[in-house]
Amino acid sequence: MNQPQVAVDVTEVTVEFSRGRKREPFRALDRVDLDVRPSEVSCLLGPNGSGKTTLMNVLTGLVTPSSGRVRVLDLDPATQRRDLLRRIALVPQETSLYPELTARENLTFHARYYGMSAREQRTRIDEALELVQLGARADDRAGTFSGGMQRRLALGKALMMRPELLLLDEPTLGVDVQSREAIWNRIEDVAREGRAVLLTTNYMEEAQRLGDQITIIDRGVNVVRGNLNELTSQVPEVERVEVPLVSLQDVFLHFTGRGLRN
Amino acid sequence: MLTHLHALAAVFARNLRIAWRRPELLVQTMAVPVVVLALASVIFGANDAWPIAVVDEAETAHSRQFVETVTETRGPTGSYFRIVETEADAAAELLHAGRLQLVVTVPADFSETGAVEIATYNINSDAMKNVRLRVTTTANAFDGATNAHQVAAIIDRVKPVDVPRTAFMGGSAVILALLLGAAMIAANLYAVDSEHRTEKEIALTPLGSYVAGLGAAAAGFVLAAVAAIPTALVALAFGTRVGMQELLLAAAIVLPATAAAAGVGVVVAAYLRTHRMIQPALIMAALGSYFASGGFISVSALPPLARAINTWWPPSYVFEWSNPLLHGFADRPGLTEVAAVVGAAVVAMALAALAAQRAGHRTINHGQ
Amino acid sequence: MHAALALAKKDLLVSFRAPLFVIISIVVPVAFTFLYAIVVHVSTTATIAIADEDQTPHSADFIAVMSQMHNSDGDYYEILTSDPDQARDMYEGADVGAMLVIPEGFGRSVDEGEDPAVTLSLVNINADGTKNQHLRIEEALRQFQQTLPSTPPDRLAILESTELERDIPVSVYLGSALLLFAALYAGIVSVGVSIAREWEERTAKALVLSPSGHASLVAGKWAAAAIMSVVTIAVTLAALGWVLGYPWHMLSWRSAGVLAIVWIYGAALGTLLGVKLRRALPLVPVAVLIAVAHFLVSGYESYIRGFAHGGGVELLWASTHWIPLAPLFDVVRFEVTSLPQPEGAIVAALGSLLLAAAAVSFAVWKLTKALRFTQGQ
Repeated sequence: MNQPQVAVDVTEVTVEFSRGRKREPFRALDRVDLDVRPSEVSCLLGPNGSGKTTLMNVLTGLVTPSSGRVRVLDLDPATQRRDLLRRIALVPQETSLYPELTARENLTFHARYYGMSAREQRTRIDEALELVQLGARADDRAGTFSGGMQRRLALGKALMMRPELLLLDEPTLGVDVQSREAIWNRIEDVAREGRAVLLTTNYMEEAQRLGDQITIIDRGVNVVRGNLNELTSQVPEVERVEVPLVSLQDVFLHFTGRGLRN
Repeated sequence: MLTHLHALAAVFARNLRIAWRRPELLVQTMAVPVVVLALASVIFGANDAWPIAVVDEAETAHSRQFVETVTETRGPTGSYFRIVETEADAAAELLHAGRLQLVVTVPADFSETGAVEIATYNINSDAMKNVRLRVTTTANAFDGATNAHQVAAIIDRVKPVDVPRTAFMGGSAVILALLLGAAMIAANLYAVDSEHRTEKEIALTPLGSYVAGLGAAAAGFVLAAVAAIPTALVALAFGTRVGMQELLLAAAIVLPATAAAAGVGVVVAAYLRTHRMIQPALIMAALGSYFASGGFISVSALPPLARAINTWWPPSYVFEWSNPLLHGFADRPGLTEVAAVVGAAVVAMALAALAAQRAGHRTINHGQ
Repeated sequence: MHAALALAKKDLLVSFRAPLFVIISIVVPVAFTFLYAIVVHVSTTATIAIADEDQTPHSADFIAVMSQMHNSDGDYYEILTSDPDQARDMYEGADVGAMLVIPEGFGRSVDEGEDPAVTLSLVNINADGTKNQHLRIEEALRQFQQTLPSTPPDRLAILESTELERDIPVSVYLGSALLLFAALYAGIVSVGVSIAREWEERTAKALVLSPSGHASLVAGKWAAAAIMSVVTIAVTLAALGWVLGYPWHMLSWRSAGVLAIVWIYGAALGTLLGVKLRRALPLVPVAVLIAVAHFLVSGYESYIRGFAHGGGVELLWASTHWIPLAPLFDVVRFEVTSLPQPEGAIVAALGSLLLAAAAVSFAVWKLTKALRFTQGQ
């Protein structure tokens, strides 16, 4: 399959819901634009309730927009959903793991449910466990894992599918620095392999570290788009926060090390 | 002490607020006894005067006397038959389709043979037992009219008028609504914390997790009264009539029992934790108790196995002790009976507190 | 297909690792069935205490008549005592709701051709109990009267013909209804809760986003639930065999087919409820109500049909025309009793499957069209 020039192409997308007891109309997204290219990590930023998850749902066909144009890997999520789902992977905010199953069993179930052949499963499951550094805990139940390990396992599920587009909804929410570092490394690897990544986050340093392109939305409306330099250049100097040469994260990693704590 | 009471009041108020904001918590507890009572009343209350066909092919004075006897056959509760068809072909058709269960035919030679024919749609032996015994009653009445020398039975009843079956079921259903309401509301409110992952916050109170258990039980006890209102209205509609004095007397048994049910609800919730496990267990146990432990018919009239099981099943005592009070068959509740239900309430509340305290320890030890 | 199997295997593994819900799913309908079954014979046998103050051969004969009265379900009376003092104690202590007093002089009156009378004392707190006792004493009086030489020969004779070859025993009638109730309950609750659980535990999104499609989701859920339901039905059958002597060996492929159809109907409703409600809190009571209402209405349809002449009962009976399950209950009963099959069974089977298909299609459509997830999900 030829790789498209633009993995995600969202133009003037509007999503309206009705909400509350009076079923009042509510505009979750209002003429939003977004594009994500292969080999890039695009970050979608916005305060809580700004419409980030709704946009993710639009891209996976879970929500059909009221108006606007959406193409994901040259497919229309609303009408070509099943074809699209074979080529993308989503790591939702909730880790979607079964606590009663082991890490390997979770991956095995996911692989089978997503139609992976038995031959592929054997190699890809082990590979995914190693990628997210959970090989040693493969046969422990997911319910016994820390929050960070569960996030890594959820990422492993997605990586195992080798998607052309990886969608990550707040992938490092509530995880420790070590797990975050591991997750970031894997995300960068995905982009380096030529695939596209779109992630939503509330962490500025995450966007700063990973984002080749950054889109900020607020109240369902595009606020600003561009790379880090383009964005920072738009802020008047007087309002800029001075960034120390050594960040707190560097200090923390220096003293606690980069080894993972499982 | 005051701090503990304040904490208890806070949990109680929070629970009332949750119940107010999530009306399904109450509605579902209301729905179960309402639907069961309404269906059971319509189905089991319909067979007092049995619809039948009577075809008089003789049309003599003698045969007309028999038909008259059929119409007038009565038990202590009213007429046993209601003639809805008299034409032979139509009657046969209805019988074949099961739309009638009894067709009585007085043949043309009735005066000579003294025999009547009955045709039954014998769909089950219980219905047929009823049909045949009713016909026997008619036969006794018919023979009694022609031959005075009969062994007779004098029916001596405690009260001049029977409590109608649907009225008895209605009274019991209100008791069921209170017990189930208390248990289920208390259990669901307690489980809100484990379902919403707020149990750690509750468990970490320096006052002890027992407060959560007692707070849920107290809310369940109070809200049960609200949950029982629709059932009471349906019971009224199906003929349950209870005087104020009877109501107050029955309350001496039912109110402590309701408190005990609330406590049991919390204990169940502390161990089963999630709504999907708590609810089937409580609802089906309550419905089973209604049908098999004195709600539908008094325990003393049940088959031996049921009586033996009910000796060990607490809800049967609630029905057995409160129904006579409710329907005016007892002047006052026995002291032992009141002491027993109050004791049960105290024990159940203590168990609720203990179960919640232990659940709190489990939460802290296992993390979330 | 592979996806459905994977989901079924996952569900079974999760159930095996956390078996409490499975245990409850099996125990709860079985317990209800058991409790209902132990009172099935409540109107067959009436408990009574007899105060035989006469103590003559005639009073003994009267008691013998009472103790021998029975039908195919069992004895008409359970006579707890015939001792006068004990009978009065039991009656006054509310251990029994009916007491028959055979007064002193009863035998003499019989011998002298007078009109003797017995007294039936009743705690008439439930008119149904009063009626049951009254009907039985009438039968006892008639049978006793027949034994007396003074009884004239021209008494009314009753000749009975029956529509069915034989009466269906009430244990079979209600036992079959309870068996189908267990299948229906297991179908609704196990499938419904299993689907709702994916939303409650926030694992639904991954299932919905699978390219395998929603049919795999439904098929997988059904497969796992079917295995658990088979256990529920088997245990229910064992309980019915024990309590009611239910002749389970008479069940054949036809009844198995009916059980399967009723289960499918339940599973379809469970699928719809699971997809629509997505939470066990409202789902379980709704599921219980649906199952109990079907048991009381469809399960009793052929019984209430004969009463449905006016009033609420006719309306209720009319509702069974819209839910085609009722004849299926009779299919099992007629088979177990070796009676020719009732009419309308094929229509009922097809109608039930059609309703099930409609419910599942609607559920799948809801999954596709209304994929609402809460904020952040």
